[in-house]
Parts: sequence; structure tokens; C-alpha cells
Amino acid sequence: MTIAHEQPKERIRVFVDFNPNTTNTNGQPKVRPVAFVWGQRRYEVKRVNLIYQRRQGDVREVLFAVSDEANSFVLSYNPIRLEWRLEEIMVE
Amino acid sequence: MTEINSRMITKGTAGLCLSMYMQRIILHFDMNSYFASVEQQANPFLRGKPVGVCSTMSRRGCIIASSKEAKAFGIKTGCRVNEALDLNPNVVLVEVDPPKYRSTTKAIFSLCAEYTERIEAYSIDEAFLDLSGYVHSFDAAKKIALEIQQRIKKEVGEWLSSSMGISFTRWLAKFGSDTAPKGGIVILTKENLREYLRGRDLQEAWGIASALAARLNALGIYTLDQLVAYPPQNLVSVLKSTGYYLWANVNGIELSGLEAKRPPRTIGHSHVLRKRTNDLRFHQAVIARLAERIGRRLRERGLEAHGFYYYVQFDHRPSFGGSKKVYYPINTTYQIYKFVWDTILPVIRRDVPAMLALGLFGLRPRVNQLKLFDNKKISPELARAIDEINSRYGQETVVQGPLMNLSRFHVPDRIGFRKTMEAEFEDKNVYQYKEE
Repeated sequence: MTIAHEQPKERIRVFVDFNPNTTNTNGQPKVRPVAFVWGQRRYEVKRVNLIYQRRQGDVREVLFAVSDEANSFVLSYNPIRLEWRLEEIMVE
Repeated sequence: MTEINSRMITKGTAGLCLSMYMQRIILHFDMNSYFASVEQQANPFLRGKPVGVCSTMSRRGCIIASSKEAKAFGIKTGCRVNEALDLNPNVVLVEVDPPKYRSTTKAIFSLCAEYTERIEAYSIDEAFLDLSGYVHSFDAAKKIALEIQQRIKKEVGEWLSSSMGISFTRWLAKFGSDTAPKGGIVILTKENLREYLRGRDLQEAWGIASALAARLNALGIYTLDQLVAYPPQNLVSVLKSTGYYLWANVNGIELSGLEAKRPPRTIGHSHVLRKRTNDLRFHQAVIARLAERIGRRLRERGLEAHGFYYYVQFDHRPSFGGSKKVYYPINTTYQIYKFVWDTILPVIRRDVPAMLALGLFGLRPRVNQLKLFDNKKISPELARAIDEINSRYGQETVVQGPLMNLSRFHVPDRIGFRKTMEAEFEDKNVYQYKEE
């Protein structure tokens, strides 16, 4: 069985919580996507499962592996372009 | 003798006394089913399911990591995708995602660096921590081990677990973590070592595989406690230095300590081709990409090479490979590509290759010496300028002609095995043991 991977890589609207009261190991405030809009639908982020980075030249994009009750998504944030993208959707 | 000198000598002597009596405490940790666990961390719907992380998503692809649930079905590293599906048709296959694992490793190593600056990053999912002087007992080291395990779960990902070994030598620390239960901690002291080794099969030990085990069996050694008790001079007479290293390691004699950063002996890349074709332009592009990767790594380390090696595997005929030493320095991508392509072209004209590999040996620090009798200008400065552009704007922003239009699916980014640890982290702050 393979996990179906869509990779839309489309720009999306994301609602984000910047909370200085939570920190990761580097003592930086946690950034938490709370919801995003893709197509005509709003998806509520129930959990942020993993935060990681990807380098594109000089730019380090931050990727958030998130999920709601039924689906898993990867959202990327480009700090130079100041834009969010929906990188992956994973469904069984 | 002046007062200052006598004080210095007293302090030095005290320091010497402290180091003589300081308990050496090494911790080794090994993340469990790492790539698969990271995928399960990222996607909670994979948790509890058999997951196989694949090099490529084709039936010829290889499983490079499997979750504990997949291992229960016999799906292990090295298994082909089609074999995995035979073992369990419900196995979830996920393509390898190197940035995810590198980034997670960086977070884990960052956390470990809060406990000691003496860290040897052994592989993408293993490291040694020298806690000597920071803690003074194995119990205190165990508290740190537990804390690290808990912090990894809390700060990096709750699905990630590690096995840990704590001991007074590097080898025993790794042996402890190799034999610890998943998520467990094993402490090996001089007092409990012999009992822990009692009855254990030789191949449980780090560095003893079936061939060496057979040679030890021929000497009447079948278990690790038997190896401990065997006269070392007899081992040396049969196995030479290997025999001594084995005996010393299981007897808790520290041979190496944490390993300081060393330049690699070779730099190479290989790639199993995703498609079988006799299109020479395609093969030329793949060689160009492999050469670019190798050239970048060579130049980033400030090295030059004095030899090439190459290997071509075919489905239906014997492989072709070889090597060549050269007297002039190799440091540009073009040199690597040109030599390998010219050498293998006659062979791949005749048959369709399945796998290509190339690399460099004879590595030494770059001295920037030009060839004395050379008509062509080979420009290391141009190669470095191209590297800088590619670093700033993205890989392969500027490439050699044959590499244009080659899809990124061919020769994709992959995690190397432990010898390429330096290549795994772009920041040079990664954690290597610093020599005093």
C-alpha cells in the first residue's frame, strides 16, 4: 500500500500563532500554523507534528508537517518571499 | 623557583591528578528505526503501521529504513520494494526525504550539545557524547541519558525513541546501545561487564560479522565472554592487529576515544538508474550530475584528488570498473566528468547500464599548484565561483551543458552512510569532537 501523495505546491492563505511563551531547543519562539485555506475550503490544524527546514540556495524554508482529524499536510514558509505553500497532502 | 612557578606546578599537578582519577564516561545513542520513525512523526496516520522508506518508488527500489512494525514482517533495510510487498502487501511505502531527516538530526544534536561539547556525530542517527568531567558516576550519566530521551520526545517529536549505552570506553558504549532494548539504556561498568557478555553471540559485537566470527570459532571462541578470557597473544598471532583490537575492545581498553574530524579517504557517488535506455545523452547527464556532486564535496573540504574510480553495472553482462592514479591535482567538476565519461563511453555504447558509480581517491589538502606542461587552462577559481552561485541561488543554477534538462528525479539528493557525515550538514558548526 502506498500513501497517496499530492504535491500541489500552491500558495495558500495561512493563519499562524506566534507564541513567545513556547520555545524549541534554540530558545526561539514557536510558530504554529492554526488553519489554512486551500481551494474553497478552510482546514483547521489540529497538530503540528514536525518542524524542519529545507535549503534552496541561500534561503532556508521552514516546513511544518501538520494534520487534522483525517489528513496530513506539509506547509512550507519562505522567509524571503514571505509566502506559504501547500507542499504535500497525504491520504491513504 | 619563583612563587608563581611553584603555584603553576601545584595546579598542574592537581590537574594531572584529577585527570588520572576522572571517571571516563561515554554515552552512545542510536535513534530507533530513524527514517521510518521521522516519517511516522511527521504523519501520525502512519504510526503503528508497517512503513518502509524507499530510495525510489519503483519495484526495483530498495527499502533503506523500515519501522518496527515492518521489521516484524521481515521487511528490513536492503529489501527490494517488490520483496517487501510480498512479505506484507499492506506495507506503506514512503519515498526518502533527506531534508526532513537532516533537520531532525540537527535538532537532536543541538539538544545533546547542551550537555557536552565533546560530541562525535557517528552517523545521521547516532552520536557519542563524552560526559567525562561533567558527571562523576554512571548513575548521574543515566539521569542525563533519560533526560535526553525525554527532551527528544518533548522538543523534537514524541514518536522518536533512542537506545543508549553508557560505559567507560567508546566501543563498550556503542555495544551497550546496540544491545539495549528499543528505547532502553544499558550501563556497562568494569563490575558488570563480564556478566553482561556471558553467553552473548560474537556477532552481537560491533565489528564482528560472519567471516570474522568463523575465524574466532576456529579458535574455539563462540561467545563474547570467551573472547574476553582468550589469551591476547594467541589472538594476535592468528589475527594480527585485528585480534588485539577485538580483545582490547571487549576487555574495556580504550583504543581511540572519540574520533576527531578527519578528511575522507574517498569521495564518491553512485546511482541506480531509474530507466533502462541506450540514450547516451541521458547517461552523459547522469555522469555530469554525479561529477558535480563529487566536485562540490571535494572543493567544500578544501581538498584535491589524485585518482578516479568508476563502476558500471549491467543487468545482463559483467560489470565494468577500474581506477586510475594521476599525478596532477583534480579539483574541478569538468575534470571528473571528462575522465569518467571518456572511459566508460565505449562500454555503455555496447550495452544498457543499470547503475553508475564514480569517485575520487588520493585526497589531500588543496595546494593550488598548476600543471607545468599543460595547454588547457583548468580553472579551480571558476569552479569555486560556480559553487558560490549554486550555494546562493540553488543547486545546479549554473551547470555544465550535458546536465541541462536532466530531471531532478535522476540522481536525487540522498543521505550518505556515516563516512559522509560532514556532507549532511551545511553549517560547519556541526558537532565534532574538538581536540584540545
